[in-house]
Amino acid sequence: MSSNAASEEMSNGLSSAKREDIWALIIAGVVMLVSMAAPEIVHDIFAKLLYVF
Amino acid sequence: MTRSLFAPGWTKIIPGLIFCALFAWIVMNIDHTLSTYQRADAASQAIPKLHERLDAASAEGNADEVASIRKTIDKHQKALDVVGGQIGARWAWATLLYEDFQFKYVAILLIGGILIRNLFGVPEIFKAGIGVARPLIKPGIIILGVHYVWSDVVRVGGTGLILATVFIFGTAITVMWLSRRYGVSDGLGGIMGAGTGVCGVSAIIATAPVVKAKPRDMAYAIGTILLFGTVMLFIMPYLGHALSVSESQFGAWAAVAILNTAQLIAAAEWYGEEARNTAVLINAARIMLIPLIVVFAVWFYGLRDEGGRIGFWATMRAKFPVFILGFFVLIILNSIGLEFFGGPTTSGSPFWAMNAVYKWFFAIGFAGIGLSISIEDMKQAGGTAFVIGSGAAMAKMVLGLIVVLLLGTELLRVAGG
Repeated sequence: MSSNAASEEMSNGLSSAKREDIWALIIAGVVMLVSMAAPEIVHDIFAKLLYVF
Repeated sequence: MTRSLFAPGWTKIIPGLIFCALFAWIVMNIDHTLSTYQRADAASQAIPKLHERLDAASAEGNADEVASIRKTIDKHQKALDVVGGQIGARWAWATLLYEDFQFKYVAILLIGGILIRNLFGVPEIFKAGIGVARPLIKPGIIILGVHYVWSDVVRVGGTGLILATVFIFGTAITVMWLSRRYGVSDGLGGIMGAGTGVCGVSAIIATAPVVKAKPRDMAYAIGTILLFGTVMLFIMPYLGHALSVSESQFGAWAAVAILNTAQLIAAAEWYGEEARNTAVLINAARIMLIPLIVVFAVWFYGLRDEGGRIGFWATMRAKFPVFILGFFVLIILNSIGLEFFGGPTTSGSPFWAMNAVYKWFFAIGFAGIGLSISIEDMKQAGGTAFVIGSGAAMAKMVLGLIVVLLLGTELLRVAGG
């Protein structure tokens, strides 16, 4: 079993679920950094600007 | 490492992702318009009644009551001003669609997506991107961490963890045992047990290589999970309203009964904000059990590596959903109460800005769910395993409802901070 789990990861580099998880962490991290740098702009874009009608 | 973050042929996902983002953007704007007119309709009817209460409170000299009513009138007046309406005007169509029919962005994206996929079809060029849109719910879940504090995690998450453990292992053991008893292959019985117990498709994919399930077994199990999840996703919110289930109770019920993370978040978000907050927290506890269910399947079917070991830690490492760590990091930051980060309602703070973003990730993810629900895929469901799997999932739904009704609302409500 341990070889099963390990080989699944090794053959593809990362399993698709792990890749999704890491991308989710990266995206959330970027959102957090941008929100720390310019909270008003982020809020305006996502709470106002994107609603056009 | 960086290269392995990009799946081979990753550029193929771009058209489908853009398609989902565009679909989500249109629907979010429709939702915004409907909610704006529904609020105006409610305000138009409420303001005259509030003025009567204000006169009565003023006559009694109740200053606190007068201040509170004035504040509510101001709020309603703002809702009316947004559409340039007068007191007494009606926008009954908005109330009918948004309140009575619960035609919110979740429902529009799911129903619209299913109709597009099955009536008109989705061009091949979009399919890869649509498959990738669904996991965009994960960054949304991480960002939603700004809504919680540790006391929520201990109370609601602790209760949820106990609920999830009992229901997950109860369902998985029952399905695996019945499958073996009625002659279903170990591969199909194993993934059906994991799928109906934990997180549907994710658990099936995680367990399949371990129990050596065949591609046809996976198609059967995924078909069953998708069929059951889709039916529950649409029935449960209406059932919840009919049975007067509170939002927090519904969140816990959905987290126990609906198998797929994306579908349960969709059902809970559709039901209301409190339902979603409870569902996300209990789901966080639930998905951490995926590696344990895989280890259980290994033990149940007597599978071992060359050295005769189960490989507990290797399985835990390989199957643990690491994204959930980001969710807990944000809960810690919110619980510490650092002034710099503020909170989801502290205007001008980073967490306030992040709070405006998560819904867009959810919307793109829900677009991905709707557009990927294919009637043809669900026709794959069938056979003895289907009867056992859906019977167990149905029993879990009914028992889950009874348990959350007995637990009450307070134990399951996320207070936030």
